[in-house]
Amino acid sequence: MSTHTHPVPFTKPEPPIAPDKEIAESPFRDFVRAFLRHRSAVIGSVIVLSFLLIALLAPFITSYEYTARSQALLQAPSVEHWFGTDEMGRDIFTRVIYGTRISLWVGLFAISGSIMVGSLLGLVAGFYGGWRDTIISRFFDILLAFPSILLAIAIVAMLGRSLSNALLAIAIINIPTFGRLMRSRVLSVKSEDYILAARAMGMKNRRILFFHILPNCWTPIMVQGTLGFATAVIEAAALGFLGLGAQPPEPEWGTMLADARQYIQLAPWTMIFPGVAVALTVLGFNLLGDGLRDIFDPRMKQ
Amino acid sequence: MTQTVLEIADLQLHFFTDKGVVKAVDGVSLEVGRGEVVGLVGESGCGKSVTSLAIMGLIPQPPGKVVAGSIQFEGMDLTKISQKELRRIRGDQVAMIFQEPMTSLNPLFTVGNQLMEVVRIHRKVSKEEARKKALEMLQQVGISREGILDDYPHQLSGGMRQRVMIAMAMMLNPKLLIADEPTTALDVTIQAQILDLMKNLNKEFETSILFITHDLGVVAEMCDRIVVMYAGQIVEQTDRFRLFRNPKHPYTQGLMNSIPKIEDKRDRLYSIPGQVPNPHQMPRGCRFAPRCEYVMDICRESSPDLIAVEEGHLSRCFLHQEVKEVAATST
Repeated sequence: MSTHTHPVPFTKPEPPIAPDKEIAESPFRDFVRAFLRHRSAVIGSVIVLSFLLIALLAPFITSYEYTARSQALLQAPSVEHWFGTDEMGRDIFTRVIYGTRISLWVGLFAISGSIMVGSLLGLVAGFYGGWRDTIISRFFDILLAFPSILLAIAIVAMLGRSLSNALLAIAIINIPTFGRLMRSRVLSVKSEDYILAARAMGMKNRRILFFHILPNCWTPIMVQGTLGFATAVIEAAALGFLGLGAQPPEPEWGTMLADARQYIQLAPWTMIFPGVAVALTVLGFNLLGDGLRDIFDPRMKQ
Repeated sequence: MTQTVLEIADLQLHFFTDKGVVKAVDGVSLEVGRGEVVGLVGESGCGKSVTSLAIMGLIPQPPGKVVAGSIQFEGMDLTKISQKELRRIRGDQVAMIFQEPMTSLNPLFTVGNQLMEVVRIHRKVSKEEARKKALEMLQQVGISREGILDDYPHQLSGGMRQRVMIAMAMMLNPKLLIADEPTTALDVTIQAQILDLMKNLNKEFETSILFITHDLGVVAEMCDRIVVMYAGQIVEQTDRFRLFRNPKHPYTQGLMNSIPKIEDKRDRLYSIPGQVPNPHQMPRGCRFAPRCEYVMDICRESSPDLIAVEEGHLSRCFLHQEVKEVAATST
């Protein structure tokens, strides 16, 4: 604390105005402020971060192995087994927690895969147009013509049932979502003045495409990616439920639900907890995605 | 005029659309000398921007196509050379600035980044050298604050951004600068500053400027010679003194009359009656005939040629021919 030797002024001095700059605020700080002000974005990110921590710290949260069986079969939630046990006496809490790893893993890889492939295809289709656009857009149309889960089932059926094939199938069925988004974004960015200016500066097509158009297309892809993450988690659970995804004894939420189906009346907790886990994860990513969409929407800016 | 930098000869540029062929540029010939400022004036849609984009080779193809004519720049025909050679010239020897400074800079990169990129595309220089060059150039355009290199475009005002755009265009000291309505989007006070700046750069670096505008006031201030375009054709071409004192073509006269004068006390401002012809249905004869107050029968039948009314003053109108013929028969 410094001591004042002069009388304290009645009004606070005006902060000095930054010369020549209308907005003395970095875009990143702007973003953080808008994010923290958006309630559902904050709630969503808290949920997502919690699941992320759970996935990372799984062995420290629970002392059981997810395959370890105990004598207590289908036991109701208790101090020993917080979420109860399943028909083989495995601790459900442990399995739900390890299941987080699988779900986030599938979501992350499937969605990054579809973003990479979809964006690249969309970029080429939107930028070059012509026959490339025709071929790529028709390919998207074909993929979208099937109900996506049906397509995923077909792909897994062809490749054989396993978690990695389910992941691949989820990645493939999500390609057109990102591809189309990217294509439409490229079409609009391509006609921006700064792209014409870049051409007038003598830049090559490829340079313009990757250094000037692509970075200006990321925002909607990021938002869609977050929302797509939720879809991927559901799809992974659905494939697991159908027995086409993770194979026992992997603690995949969908697989757990499938196993629990027979004991709904006898031991509802075998079903409730994995179900709640799926729902919460999806909710978290959806809230976060919606929040990001609002924040990035220029019309929402104050 | 000592040396020609740019020589466009009988340029024909057509757009092939579903509705038919649009002759956006129809037989335009013009020259720009070293250190000269040439104004290209006309209403929206008269083909002035298309001409400038054609020089840069930036007309989307299809639907656009140079059907005939040539664009000679430094001994090269820009309509004939490959994309690769064209790219080497663009931004280096011929640079362009655009109408909208607000959207002509990439919002995601800093000013410094974008200025340095231009240098590094065309020259093999280190980052430090490019940075130095960028700072020098920014000083030339009147921005001396060093921190600007790390600013993003959204942090700058329109005038500042246009200065940055000019700096970017001037980075490699081009022989020809094409300015497509560079001051239209700016405040009047900022306009004057930018015009001053361009005049200084023109003097200092001997950069020729092709100045495209619809603003006759700007033309009077900036340009040595003026080319007036209407519906894809040149209708009048002369130096600025003769154009303003003695406009020959009825269209130019109409443009001059449309400038409000402060001593005039009339209720309505003058405007040329009618509209620019639909590019899909050009009039058969003179393209200005439907709006011309001196229209004669011949104007509706055939199209006049661009003829020299006097030394260094071209105009495309039958009126002059008649006057000449009358003059010829009377002597």
